[in-house]
Amino acid sequence: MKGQTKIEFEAFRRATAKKLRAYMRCACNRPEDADDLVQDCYLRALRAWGQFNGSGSRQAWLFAIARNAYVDWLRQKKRTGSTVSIENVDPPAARHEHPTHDAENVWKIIEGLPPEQRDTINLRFAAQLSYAEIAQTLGLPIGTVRSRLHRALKAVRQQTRGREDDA
Amino acid sequence: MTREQVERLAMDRAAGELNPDAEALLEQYLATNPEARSWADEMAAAHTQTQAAIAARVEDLDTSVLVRPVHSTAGSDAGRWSILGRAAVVLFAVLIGMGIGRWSQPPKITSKPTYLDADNTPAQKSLSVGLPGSVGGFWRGRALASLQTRPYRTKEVTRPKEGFWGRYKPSLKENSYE
Repeated sequence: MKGQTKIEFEAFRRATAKKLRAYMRCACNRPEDADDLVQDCYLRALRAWGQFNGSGSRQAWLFAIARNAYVDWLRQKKRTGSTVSIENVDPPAARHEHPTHDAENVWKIIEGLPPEQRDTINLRFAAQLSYAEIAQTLGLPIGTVRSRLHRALKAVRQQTRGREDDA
Repeated sequence: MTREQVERLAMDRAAGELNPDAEALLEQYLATNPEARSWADEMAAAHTQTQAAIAARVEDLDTSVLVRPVHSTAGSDAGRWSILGRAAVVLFAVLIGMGIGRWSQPPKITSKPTYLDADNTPAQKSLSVGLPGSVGGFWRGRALASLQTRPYRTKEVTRPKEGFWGRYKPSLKENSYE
């Protein structure tokens, strides 16, 4: 690895570590898995460092790698049967209870969202990506990103308001 | 404007994605439309709640440590399986090699070839009965040989050697049959 590339990569890693770790922390249930995925993601980014063609945001490029790493990790866990896919989890707080709008219960509502909406939420609020960066990461139009985000926030609002009405 | 349009614009504003001109127009519209204002406020509230929930989830992250020991289950599994995989491949190759070696060896002759004594075989005896005593020497030996099953061995005769002289030498030695 050339010296200049190494310096660039290290600077990039320091600038994105917090966001990437936050994203993985929201995607995975266990912090240990999140940390492992972060390291795996940076390894992949390091190997593919020269392949980035400069179009779009490098940060969005990193999170596209992160999503692929997360999907590969999920597939491996499914094969080994060591964990249950988040897609199949039915969080009771979101379905059978009426949560209040405190942070923990809102998080449970987020966990109960469809995977594409949950992923968009994580990219927007945990990774703090812009609409354009999320669109680049997911390979979708910005309009689709806005639609998913809107539906997710609407679900959050409806489920928290249900509790307020019951109260 | 529809409710969905108002909510999306409110969401964009809360996310900082609305340019200043659009934000001003939205605010102007909401000022004259209380119902739309309530829709926008609900969406803004949902945005804030979601942001707080995410922040609470990630607030305990230790970002000061950028390099951590690799405790990757996937990585350690991959490493462990690569060592085991390599050992399995080596063992398999050794077994295959041993099998090929055993298979390629010429079969060992465990039992001694049976030799027929040229003088005492039944064919020889019957022939010796049929042949007059005057028939002997070269022709007697050749006649006996044609009647006996291979491999056969005659007394004092070694296995003929290969080559030009090997073909004619037995004829010379057969004179000693008498």
